[in-house]
Amino acid sequence: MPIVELKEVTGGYSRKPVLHELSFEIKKNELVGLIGLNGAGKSTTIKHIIGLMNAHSGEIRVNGVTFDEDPEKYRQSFSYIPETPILYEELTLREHLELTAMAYGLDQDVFEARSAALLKEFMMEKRLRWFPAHFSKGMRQKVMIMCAFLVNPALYIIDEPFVGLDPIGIKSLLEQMTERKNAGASILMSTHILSTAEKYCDRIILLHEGKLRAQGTMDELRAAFNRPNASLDDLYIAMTEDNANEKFA
Amino acid sequence: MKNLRELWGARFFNYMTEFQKYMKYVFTGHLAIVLVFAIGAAGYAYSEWLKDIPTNFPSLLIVSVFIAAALTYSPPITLLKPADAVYLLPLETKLKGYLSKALGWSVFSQLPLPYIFFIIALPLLSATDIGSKVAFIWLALFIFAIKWLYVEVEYFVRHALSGAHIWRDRLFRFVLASLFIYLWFTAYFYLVFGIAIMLGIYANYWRNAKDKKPFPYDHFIALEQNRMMRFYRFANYFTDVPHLKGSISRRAWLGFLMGSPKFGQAESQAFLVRRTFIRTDDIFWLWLRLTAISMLGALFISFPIVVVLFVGALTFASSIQLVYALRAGDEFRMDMLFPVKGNTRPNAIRKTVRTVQWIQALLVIISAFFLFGLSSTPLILFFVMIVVSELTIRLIKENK
Repeated sequence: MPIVELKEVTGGYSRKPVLHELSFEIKKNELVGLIGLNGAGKSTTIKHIIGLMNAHSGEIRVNGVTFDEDPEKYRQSFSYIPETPILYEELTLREHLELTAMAYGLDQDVFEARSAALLKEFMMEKRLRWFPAHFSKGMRQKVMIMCAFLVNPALYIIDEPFVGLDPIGIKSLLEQMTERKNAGASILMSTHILSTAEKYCDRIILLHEGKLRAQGTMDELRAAFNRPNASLDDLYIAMTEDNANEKFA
Repeated sequence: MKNLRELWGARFFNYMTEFQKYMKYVFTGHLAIVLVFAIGAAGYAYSEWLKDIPTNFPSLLIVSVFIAAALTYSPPITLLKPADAVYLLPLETKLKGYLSKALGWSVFSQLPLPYIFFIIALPLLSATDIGSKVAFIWLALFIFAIKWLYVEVEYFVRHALSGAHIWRDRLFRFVLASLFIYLWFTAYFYLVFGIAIMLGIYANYWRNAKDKKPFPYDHFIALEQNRMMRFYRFANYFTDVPHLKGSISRRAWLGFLMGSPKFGQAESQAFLVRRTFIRTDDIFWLWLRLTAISMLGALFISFPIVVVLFVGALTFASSIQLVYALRAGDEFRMDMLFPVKGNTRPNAIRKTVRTVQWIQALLVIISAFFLFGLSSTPLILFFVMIVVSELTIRLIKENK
């Protein structure tokens, strides 16, 4: 059973759809990169998957259920790292972790063990009593990352994770992602850092103007675009140029 | 936008539109009626009090201090926006026209307060045989002149020091303005010319200091944002203001009320809402303010029916505003994704408001015991408060 399943999803903010009959799957133990230009529909796709937006038509299943069938099971299955860190100004770092642990039903022992490891990994142990007002952009992002990894869900949904992180933070994040994937989790990650996506993702989904342009492993994509040895950067630019040509043809 | 003068015009138009949009909610029918009655009652009480005012009442000192304080507080209203730090940076030398308009508006918008104090002071000064008609007319002119000067000086000082040490400047100006008004009604009235000269030298010093410094965009933008935030917070008591960011304080001394985390899903929202209540300044001070006013009412209003109505109305205001304040928030919060039942947050808000309303009722009943002794009135008061809170909490409609 795939962990995420989109079937012909059409949706958007207003009645005019941003996503057009989008279908794809993410299997267990898979790291999938969601790639596309600004405004291609990456964040909109993610918002539909996490249940913040309702599809106009089509169906989204996470861990086998739709949101309407079982909202609690649906939400229990994933954790989400938004593009812009969204924190509670009134909670300290420690309280953010505690709140997340409570909401996802973690035991105290599990919470203590996991949070200690994450705080060490992201070098935030000394900031437990700090409020978000005193955090830099990168630190805020680290709080979001730690909260998401604390839950240890079946699926991670990560929107532009590298923006604002320092090189050590990026390394820690990639290590954590690899570790979780090896332990059986799935990850959907949207990013513009194509070299990283190429290196780490098992599969790539290329979105363009709200439509699925291509998907598959790097080899499959190279075959589809008929460009052997091309990097993801090359394929990405080829895709946008192809599309521009189609328009003028 | 051809030049910065036009920019001021556009900014001012938008600002007034925004201002009116919210003032419409502030002065709805109820508040207007309450204000008319309150002003009428206060005016009547004041005139009655003036009839038998003691002759040695220090009216001149009080009047000088109040008017001087209203004159001293003269922050420039620049209507600058965060993006100006980037877009207006190359135009610094051309800011003069923009700023002269801004300072003009600052003077105009800040004149009513000292003049209101002036008008209230007139009968008080006459009742204690201070001043003459001519002296009063001159004072009215002085108020205008000093306000004008003070707005300029406060701008010079803020510009020169990027907003640092503004309270030192204000203290100095406050002392001079108090002395000015005080001396004007004494036999030493000619000394005010000395003070005027000192003020002139002081203003000139800071004008020169200002000219040596680049325009501190960050300071004036922060000042402007704080001012608008105060206005939005005020308007937020009457209507929902979107994107209102409240300030936060740790309030470690209330740590015992926040409780330690209980690791169960149902508790997660209670954990969050309790902290939101205690640490969000607006929400916490709102409750504390209404509790304090209720306690004062219970301590000093000796008519049982009046105190029950007074405290009952405040209880209603307190519980309804707390529920709305705790519900408000950003469009997206992470707890919207929590795998908990849909009613967890509304229940947590109700529970928290119920708890703090019980605390409020207990504090008020203790105050009432001081005035009414161990009688039925404090108990009735307590009962009314609990019933009003509970009904308010239960009957407020859910957000969709």
